[in-house]
Amino acid sequence: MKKTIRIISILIIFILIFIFLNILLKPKYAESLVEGGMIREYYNETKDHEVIFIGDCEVYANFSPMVMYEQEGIKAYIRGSSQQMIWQSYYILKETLKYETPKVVVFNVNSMRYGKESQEVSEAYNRLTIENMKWSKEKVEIIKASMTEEETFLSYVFPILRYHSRYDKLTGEDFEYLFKTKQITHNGFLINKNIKPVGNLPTKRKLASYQFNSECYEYLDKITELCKQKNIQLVLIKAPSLYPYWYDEYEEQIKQYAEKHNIDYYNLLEKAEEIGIDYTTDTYDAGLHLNLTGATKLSKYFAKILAEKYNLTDYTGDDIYDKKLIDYNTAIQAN
Amino acid sequence: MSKSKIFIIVIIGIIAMLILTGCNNQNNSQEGETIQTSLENTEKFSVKYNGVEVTPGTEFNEDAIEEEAAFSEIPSCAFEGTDKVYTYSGMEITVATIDNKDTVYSVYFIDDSVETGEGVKIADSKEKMIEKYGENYTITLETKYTYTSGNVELSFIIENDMITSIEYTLKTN
Repeated sequence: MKKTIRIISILIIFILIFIFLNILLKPKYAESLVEGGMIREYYNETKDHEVIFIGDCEVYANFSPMVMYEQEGIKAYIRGSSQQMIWQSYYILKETLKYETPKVVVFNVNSMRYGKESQEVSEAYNRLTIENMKWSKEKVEIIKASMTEEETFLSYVFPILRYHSRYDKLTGEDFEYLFKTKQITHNGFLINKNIKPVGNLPTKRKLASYQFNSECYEYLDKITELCKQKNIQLVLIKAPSLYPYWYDEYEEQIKQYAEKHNIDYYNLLEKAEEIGIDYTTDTYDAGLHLNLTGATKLSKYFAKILAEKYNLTDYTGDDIYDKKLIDYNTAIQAN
Repeated sequence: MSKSKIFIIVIIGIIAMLILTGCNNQNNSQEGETIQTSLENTEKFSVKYNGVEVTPGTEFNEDAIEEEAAFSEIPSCAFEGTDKVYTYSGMEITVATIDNKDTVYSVYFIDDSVETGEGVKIADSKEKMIEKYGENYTITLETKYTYTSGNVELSFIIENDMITSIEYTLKTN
């Protein structure tokens, strides 16, 4: 009996050390590389959003849900992440719809250009999107759909398999956020107040093909179907980021898809002037993403469209959102 | 040795093996890093611009080219951080930070004023490309012909038997 207790105790201690090392070595995404921490923030949110955005950096950098609330009383949330590929957007949407059913899902179509063979697909970006998702059927599916050849499924289950060599690169951040997280976004929006005007952009390169990959269409079909099943209005957008270039051939394909499936599509890049975006002051990285002033202009413009066209509730005066708005404005001042 | 000790050793051994398996599969890359590339290959394509050799995989010396370039920075797709893009009248050179060095990652021809090291330029025929580089190419997306030498890829886009785009790229692996 004593022996059995001793064995069990040793095993428990060993397992606890193993779990602790997994937590310690995994990047915290709290102070550095914060983009990896955005996806987990949704789980602590109220689940009564009427608008959900999905997509890459062109959503989390360019749209501010708190401005939309202040302007039109809209409750919106952005489930965006860096270089979020369309197959990832699909599984993130699928997961989101387990928690709530919004009236509108807004998908930024920029990722339609990237197939699974694109050089833009990388483990680093996969990890930023996937690592902090809660374990669910969708997380298993998103890992399987996203993994590069160098990755293993098991390394998502046990981060120590991936990060064992971080032991000599641990910083104060790893210990400070060992058992806690830090709020990074405001309903998925990442504040950036820096200004870097648009200067020279790289040459618009000729491509071997402008045709969207068939697997991207498959996932767009899945997003469309998922929204249809849940009676959600799907809205496609192209955010007003100047680079990477949005080719006319891309635009034509999206227009055709939207028309065929009776989906609203807004190319906000074409509306930049009407929105009032000034690329000398409203971008923090020379036209790739909008800064706070740019995102505020765009959010006001798009909130008006959403409120007018999609029968959204005006939640102005909501206690929780009023508090969020105060936090948002405080964060802007502090930023 | 008692059965209990053997049991504990086996369990610890299994977990250690799992970790080691992870080591082998992870290529020892770190958080936030993307694909690393080997710069050891010496046999590679090269091109000259204004008399200066620009070889993907080698360090870029901006001062060596007398012409002033338009400069921009964009987030790197293949490497960590940002790429520096130098746009000259005839070609665009993208420089990535590899092993803390500004390394030529790609060379893109803007017009027909520049030719490859083997004398092929935009608007030349497909026949000329084959004459200079042979038929050991791979075709992707029906129009892109890619030759590989060392760790450098040279790609031609061909439309109606005419070269419409030329680009050298450092291979990532």
